Amino acid sequence: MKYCSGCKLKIENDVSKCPLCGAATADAAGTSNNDYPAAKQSYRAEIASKAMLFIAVASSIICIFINNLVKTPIPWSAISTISAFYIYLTVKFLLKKGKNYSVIIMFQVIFISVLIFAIDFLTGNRGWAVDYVVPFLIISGSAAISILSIIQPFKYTEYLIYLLITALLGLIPLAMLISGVAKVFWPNAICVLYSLLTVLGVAFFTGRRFRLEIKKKLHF
Amino acid sequence: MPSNEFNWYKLDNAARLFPSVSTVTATNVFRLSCRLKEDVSPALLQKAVEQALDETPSFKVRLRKGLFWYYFEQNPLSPTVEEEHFYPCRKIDKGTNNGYLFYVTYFGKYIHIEYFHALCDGTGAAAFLSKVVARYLLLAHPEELPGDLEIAASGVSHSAQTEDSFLRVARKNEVKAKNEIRKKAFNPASILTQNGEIKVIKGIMPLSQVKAFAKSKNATITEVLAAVLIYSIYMESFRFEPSNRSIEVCVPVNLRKFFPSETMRNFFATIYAGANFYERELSFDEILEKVKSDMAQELSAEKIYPKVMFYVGAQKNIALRFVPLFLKNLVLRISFAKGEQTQSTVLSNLGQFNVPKELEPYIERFEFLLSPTLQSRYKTSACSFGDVFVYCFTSNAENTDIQRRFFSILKENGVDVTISCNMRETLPESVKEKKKKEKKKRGEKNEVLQRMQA
Repeated sequence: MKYCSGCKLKIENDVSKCPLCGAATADAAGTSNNDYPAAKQSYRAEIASKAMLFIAVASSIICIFINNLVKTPIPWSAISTISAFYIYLTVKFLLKKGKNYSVIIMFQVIFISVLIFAIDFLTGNRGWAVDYVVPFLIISGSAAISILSIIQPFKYTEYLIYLLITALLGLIPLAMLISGVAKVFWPNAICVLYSLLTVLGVAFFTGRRFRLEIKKKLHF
Repeated sequence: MPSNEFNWYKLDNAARLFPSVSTVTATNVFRLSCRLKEDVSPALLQKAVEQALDETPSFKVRLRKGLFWYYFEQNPLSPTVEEEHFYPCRKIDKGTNNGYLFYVTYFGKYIHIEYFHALCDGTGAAAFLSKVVARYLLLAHPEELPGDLEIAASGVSHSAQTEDSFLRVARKNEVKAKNEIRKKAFNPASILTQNGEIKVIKGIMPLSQVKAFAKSKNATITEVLAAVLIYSIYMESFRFEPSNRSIEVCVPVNLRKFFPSETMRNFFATIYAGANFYERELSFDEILEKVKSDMAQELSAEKIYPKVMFYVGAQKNIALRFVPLFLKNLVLRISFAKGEQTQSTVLSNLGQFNVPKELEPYIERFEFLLSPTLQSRYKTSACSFGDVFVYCFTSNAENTDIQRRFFSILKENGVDVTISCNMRETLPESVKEKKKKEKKKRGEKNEVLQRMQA
């Protein structure tokens, strides 16, 4: 027990200064105890996140600067800028606490599609991104979430909505085919088919849960 | 019990606010602690928490986002019990503790439970803590304690525990909804702590002496403490930066007193007691008279019912219901910050903790603390157990003048106050270890050098 002569109060903790007025304390009869731990504070994660963003921005600016000095037929600095931000966003998602892996997969499908499309577009627009990469990306994305929900059935309700959104992304290739942007038929057709089968499978195996999940998400 | 995935709840009226407005600086987390007379065993505590959780389905939930509202979903995982290693009342989100909205920690003789306000109010939280403590003591002392102990709120059915009492009370359209718009209140000037760390200063005192003090002033404990609080803010802050705003103390009221209910979820409203010093200086007794008249006026079912009707009406408004959640969040965030500005401070008195008589010898005291926000930087809370009354200041400000004045006034009025705080002068473990390692390295280097020289 300590005593502060300025405040005329007893202090239970083992402190050399009075927490109320800052004056030096004197010893008093009675046992001291500390009710709280010495808090460990760490801001490393916060600083790391800021540093990552800074590196992404700085490296992009440097690349654009060099690319402007040394002109090339392909504007490679645009690709490096998009890639830098893709890496930044991916790491940021992965560092998040309490992350939902189906969300990460869904966003990876979207991010990589945009990245690949941009690379294809900037390097001569030969159409391989839309024809081959994007359809198989969507298939592997929804397959990954399906596997996750089979491995972790107790998290199925968390995954369900993102599985459906990823499967619905699989209808974009259909639009690509109809509008004539995609020129190779079979990868896009397989993607559409797989996505429809995924939705059918969800409804077939977990119809009640599926309806309930929709009810929960849309309750008002 | 139905399968886990099929159980879900809508948030109650008061809870709908908190997930939208909570941030790192306004966590809306409050803590209830029990200090035992023995050191806490983590393994038994884990078991006790799981047992208590089985009795209280409204706590076995995780928070999820819908398109229009948040909702609670049955949580299939178990909560974890950890040793306390950080400042109290940190933000609770889905990343901590398997998605549970409460967080159980222990430190020495303490059992702490931190609750996110969306989950429950003080009364529900107190019932849950009493349950955990009772279960813990039964596990720790199976020989000395009878197994058929009657634990608080144990007989209440699950439907009664999970009821949204706001909706039931406001169902009958008996009174017109009415909400008063309040002016901004005086906000004591303060220097923010580094990184928003929370400073806890509590006074531990005999309840009988506080009662005697209140009796001498012919007021209730809450009234007299509110008056002391207003006076302290006036003396230590308002005097030096006069303003035309009044010093307002926000007092949460347990609605179960007016409308019988056994819910474990939120069922509270807030009232205000304040004094304005702009015209002239008020003496302590004048402040007390003002507080008493404010309380008498506000603390009635007729005055509180229209407020409840107003908030439930807002929740039921068909146009508002279909606004997407992210837009609701924006609006609620602004209105919450505005609401926080109408109070200078908070005084939440939880009252007496009741535990079975057989458990009383094992328990030293209960404590209750709130988390401050940037708009309302000093919050105070009180509770008592037996003859031990604990009054707790939590703030994110460096200044401690208000706390000092408050406890000094109590001391002057014959209350024997002992102070306890969360300030520690020892270095954190990690820093200590680093220094040790460096020393060791240096030592090794020196040894090698010496050997080389030899």
